[in-house]
Amino acid sequence: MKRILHILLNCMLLCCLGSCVDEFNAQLPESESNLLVVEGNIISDSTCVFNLSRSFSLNEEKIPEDYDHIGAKVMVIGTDGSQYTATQTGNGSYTIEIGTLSPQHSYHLQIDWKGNTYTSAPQQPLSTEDMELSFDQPEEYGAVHVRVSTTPNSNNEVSYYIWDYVEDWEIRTEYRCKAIFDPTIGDYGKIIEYEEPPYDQGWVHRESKDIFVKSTENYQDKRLNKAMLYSIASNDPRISHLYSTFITQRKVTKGEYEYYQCKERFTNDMGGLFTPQPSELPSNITCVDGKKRVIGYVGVNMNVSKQRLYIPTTEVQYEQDYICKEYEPSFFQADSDKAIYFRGFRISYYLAPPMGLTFIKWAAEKCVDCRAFGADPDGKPDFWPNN
Amino acid sequence: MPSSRTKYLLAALLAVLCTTGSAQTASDSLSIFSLMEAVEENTGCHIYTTIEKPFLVKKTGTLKPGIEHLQKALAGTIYQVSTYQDRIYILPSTQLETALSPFWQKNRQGTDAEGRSLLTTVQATSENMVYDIGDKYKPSGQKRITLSGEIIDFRSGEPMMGVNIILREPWTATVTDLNGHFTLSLPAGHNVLEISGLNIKDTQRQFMLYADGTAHIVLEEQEHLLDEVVVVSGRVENVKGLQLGMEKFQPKLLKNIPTAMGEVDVLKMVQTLPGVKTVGEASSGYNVRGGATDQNLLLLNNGTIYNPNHLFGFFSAFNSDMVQDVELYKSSIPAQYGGRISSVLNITGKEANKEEFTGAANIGLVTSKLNLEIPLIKKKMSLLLSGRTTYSDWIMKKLPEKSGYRDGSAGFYDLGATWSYTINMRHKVNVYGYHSHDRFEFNENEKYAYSNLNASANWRAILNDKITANFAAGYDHYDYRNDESIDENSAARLKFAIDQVYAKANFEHRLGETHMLNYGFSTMLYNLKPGTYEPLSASSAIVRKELQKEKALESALYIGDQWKITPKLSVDAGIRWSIFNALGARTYYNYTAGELPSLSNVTDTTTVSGGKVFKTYQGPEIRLSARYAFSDNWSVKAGFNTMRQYIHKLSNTTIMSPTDTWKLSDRHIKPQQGWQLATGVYYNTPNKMLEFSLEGYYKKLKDYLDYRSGAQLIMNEHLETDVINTEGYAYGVEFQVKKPEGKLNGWLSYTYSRTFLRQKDPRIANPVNRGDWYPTEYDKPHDFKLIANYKFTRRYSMSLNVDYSTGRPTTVPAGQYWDSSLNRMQVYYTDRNSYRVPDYFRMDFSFNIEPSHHLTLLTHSSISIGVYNLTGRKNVYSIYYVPEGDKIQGYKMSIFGAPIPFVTYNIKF
Repeated sequence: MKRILHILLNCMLLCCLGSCVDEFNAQLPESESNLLVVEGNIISDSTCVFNLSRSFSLNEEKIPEDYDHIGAKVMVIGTDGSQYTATQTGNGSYTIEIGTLSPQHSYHLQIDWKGNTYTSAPQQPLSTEDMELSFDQPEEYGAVHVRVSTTPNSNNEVSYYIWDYVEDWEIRTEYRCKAIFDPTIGDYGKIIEYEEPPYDQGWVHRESKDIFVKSTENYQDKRLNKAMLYSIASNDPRISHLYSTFITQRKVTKGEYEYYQCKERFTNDMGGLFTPQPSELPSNITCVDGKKRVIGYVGVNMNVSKQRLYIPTTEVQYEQDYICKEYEPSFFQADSDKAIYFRGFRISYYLAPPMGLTFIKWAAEKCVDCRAFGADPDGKPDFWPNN
Repeated sequence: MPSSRTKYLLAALLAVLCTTGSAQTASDSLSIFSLMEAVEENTGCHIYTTIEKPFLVKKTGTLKPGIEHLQKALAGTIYQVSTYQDRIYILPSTQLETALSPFWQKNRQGTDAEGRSLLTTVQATSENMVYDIGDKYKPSGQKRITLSGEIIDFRSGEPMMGVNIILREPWTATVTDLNGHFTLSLPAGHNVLEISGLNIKDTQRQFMLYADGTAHIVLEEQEHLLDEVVVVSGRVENVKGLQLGMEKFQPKLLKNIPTAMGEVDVLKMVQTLPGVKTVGEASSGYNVRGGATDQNLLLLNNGTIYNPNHLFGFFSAFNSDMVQDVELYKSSIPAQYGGRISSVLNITGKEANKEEFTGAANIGLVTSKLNLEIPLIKKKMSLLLSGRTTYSDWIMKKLPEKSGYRDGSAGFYDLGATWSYTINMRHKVNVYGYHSHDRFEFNENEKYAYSNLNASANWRAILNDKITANFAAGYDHYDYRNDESIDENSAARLKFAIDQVYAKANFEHRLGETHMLNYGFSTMLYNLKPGTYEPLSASSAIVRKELQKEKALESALYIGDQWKITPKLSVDAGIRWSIFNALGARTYYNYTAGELPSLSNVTDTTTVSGGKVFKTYQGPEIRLSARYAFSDNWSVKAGFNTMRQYIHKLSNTTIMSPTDTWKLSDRHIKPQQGWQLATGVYYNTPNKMLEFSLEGYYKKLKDYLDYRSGAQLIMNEHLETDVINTEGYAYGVEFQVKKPEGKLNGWLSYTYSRTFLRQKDPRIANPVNRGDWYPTEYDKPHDFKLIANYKFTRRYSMSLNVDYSTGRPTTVPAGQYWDSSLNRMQVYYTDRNSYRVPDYFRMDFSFNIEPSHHLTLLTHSSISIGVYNLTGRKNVYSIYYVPEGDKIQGYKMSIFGAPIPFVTYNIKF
């Protein structure tokens, strides 16, 4: 019996037990589409941009060309009698120069489109508290955490915040070589020499695509104290030399907080056994003269808080997950430089004395060319420290 | 030894198959094993023998040989035949001592004509055998025969009083006296006596009466080591009983039904019954006739189980070895039960054997369990200990990555104990204990755990020859906790707990031969800790927060009467008056009258001191059912029930989640109410080979708690601002045909049912689906289930389980849009449950080898080998859409997307 059990157990483990996730591309029933989508917030003393578009069917494989062809009248109206009219700048984009808002008055967005009027719920502008950014790496060669601390609000009330950030980071390659091989020149390609290594240094710019919202409800003094916003793995090239993040913090209402929570769930938390059922996105925009749904949530703020944080690689433990090594051409047993190039290698060392033999070494692209990381050698940001 | 016999049996079987008809004339002799098989087949008895090699004996000349033919065939050999109850022993030169023990000796009637050990004293142990009373060769010639005797508890050997014995046609009934004795005057010939009573399994005995005689009816058939694969009818009284929508079964008799991982599972068994649905595999909880998962009362030895699941619902929290029997009430719910509006699942724990020490061990791929039955004082006191644990981490690695569990680990255990003490013939005390614990973690930063703890005592007292009482008291506890430590600065623990103490008294009172009153009361004190959120470490910036406790007292008085108006017409009418008192201390908001509670319309705050009643809900619950039996074989029934529920589960997940919050009714949360109208037609074929039933129902419910959009259900001081009252209705037709016995047995059912909800409250600005009716997640109109067992021989059998249902409704995006701030596509949702996942189909198969019946073995083992999801169909558990770059991609997730082999090994000693 033991033998039978042993055999069966092994069979079982060898068997693909396969619970699985497969793509599902069935045609869904046509439902409500062509809903007005509104993005943008009313912020005092700023140029506010509102993007209008329309939703479309899930069965559409491509974004319809006219999805943002929204010719509407857009304005911000305040209970103090103020009214700001937007200027259409194309592709559903509307720009409004907002003056100084009054914390005692309420403001809302109004959109007239296709014979219907849509308005956001009037709201008094929220003042966003300052924040303080920091980072740490609690574990040896562990993830680097970017943290935010907020200052307590005057009433010690629960606050809700949303953050977005813009990242920049510098890439420096292991080898600095003034020569590059250009495979597009002639039949066999050509080595070109520069005065300075052309691709040994570059910068990557990226805007966050994630939603970060938090409530201070459960925190001491109703403020966030080094709460983690996001993490960077220790082998992430973002922290290989110098990393910068420019974070914008905006205070939101509980309703707007729930709106972003819902959006975040639709993106990141679907498909689990205990995933909450999806529900309609909450919105504070309604169609005044109809029952048409609207997607979006318009917040009203007196200000937003912004701050930049640098993370130099010298202050964290960066673990490069690739090894750079140079190879002589004979190593590749290739019949041409072009063949080596297309195997993913780049020139890491080049010596061509006028009267002597040319001496070349090759290394993996990542070790020589910053563009392998998506970096732009000419993309150095204005704010970037010189050293 | 057993294998050699098996080999011969198979050889004989093959020989028969190969020679077909020509074998009939080839010889006038046959193998002793063939004769034994035939005798077993014909008599229903089990044969125990030490014969290892077959030899030829003379043919009997009949196709239905009996014991006498066996004796005749073995005359002149060294083997002698002895019988005891429904067992036949064939032993070499050994006269098996089957004489009665002193206890029985006083009732001994005599011996057979040959003066051998064949007993003539009738020990009526089996439902299916026909017992002769008197000498069939010398019938008395009387038209009326007096049958006397006693009813005896198999385990204790003690007489049982207050047991009903009924002959339906012509109507004759009696109840056993204090000594368990009875006397009935019955017509000569074949009689089927129905036997029922408190805390015993409804059963029957068949007698062929030739002359006055005595029968000892032994209740609770011995749990033979050699159990057949028999699905005992849940409806012995399919036709005659008063209950509609009632199912009853014993787990031990369903052990061969294939299940995931090969574990015999009480709740999985329940889910094979018509009218019971789940939203998918691995789903915690079940839905009965359109009810939500929290609308099922789940009782284990009178205690409430709040989370009956292990390992996300792969297993039920009950070790089947500690379960005696299970009753599911879907429609006619007896007046003694209340507190939930959909169904009652009553699980009764097993008592240990009071005669001898026994045990069982089970080794499966995921779990192992041990069950010990220890007699402490012979025939008086016993202790049952049961435990189960798992080594289930490997299964987590097989789950879909998207399920979120793949990098996790999980484990559980449960422990059960039953202490039973028979004080005397009239009084018996049982004390039950149960504890289960689950822990699992998605990763090292996200951990969950939950526990059930139940303790109860039950005292059964026979007050006089008409009244039997049951007194019960107990304590139930359920808690969960969820640790999140992904950021040590925010590391926190969420805790939730329910404690309740209760007392119940239930009386069965016989008034004459036509009325059986059932009355009593129950009271339960709830103490609910809705939530505590606290820092998990000293470095955490989380501040401790504890929601105020909720206390309430729920009590009920009830009375019901089973009135047999005529032999054909019976009515069961009952009323239950339940009263719910919400108790302080509590502080709650008041809101503007006529408006939905929300933080924007809080008018003031009320504070209630400790112990003070601040809100009372009460009302009657009607329990009515009637049956008209046109004949012994077919009847119609109808019933009407109303129910009230004062505790609510708040969830926004499709299935029961380990962090679901329970909420007591209070100033703002009304009790749920429901009613159900049901009717049914029942027909048994005259030989009881098949049982047919067709039941239809319509039910309504109101004040079911649903969540609002963006609701915060955890750590919410004012849940009324995040929930909304919903109304619903359900209807359906359930057809079932059951073949309770025979080589091929099982059941087949088809259900057509629908269930809908809507938010009709005019105060809701934006109701779900515009206030229209929408299907629930468990609305699966067509549902087909087949459970079939086929017994090749007494040792070898196979089981098949087929399950088909319409795909469940799910919510899919209504469309997509380009989010320019996030620079990606986004989805949005409008209508709830507007789409259905593909239909569900699953077939499971198992092959079962029962233990050898060789007498010299000290232990007996059985093994089940099978495959769950034989066809490997990827049944869709969920469909979801996520943004991927510039497009939205749909995915379907299957829990078990391939055939899953399993093996289970059982040892009994």
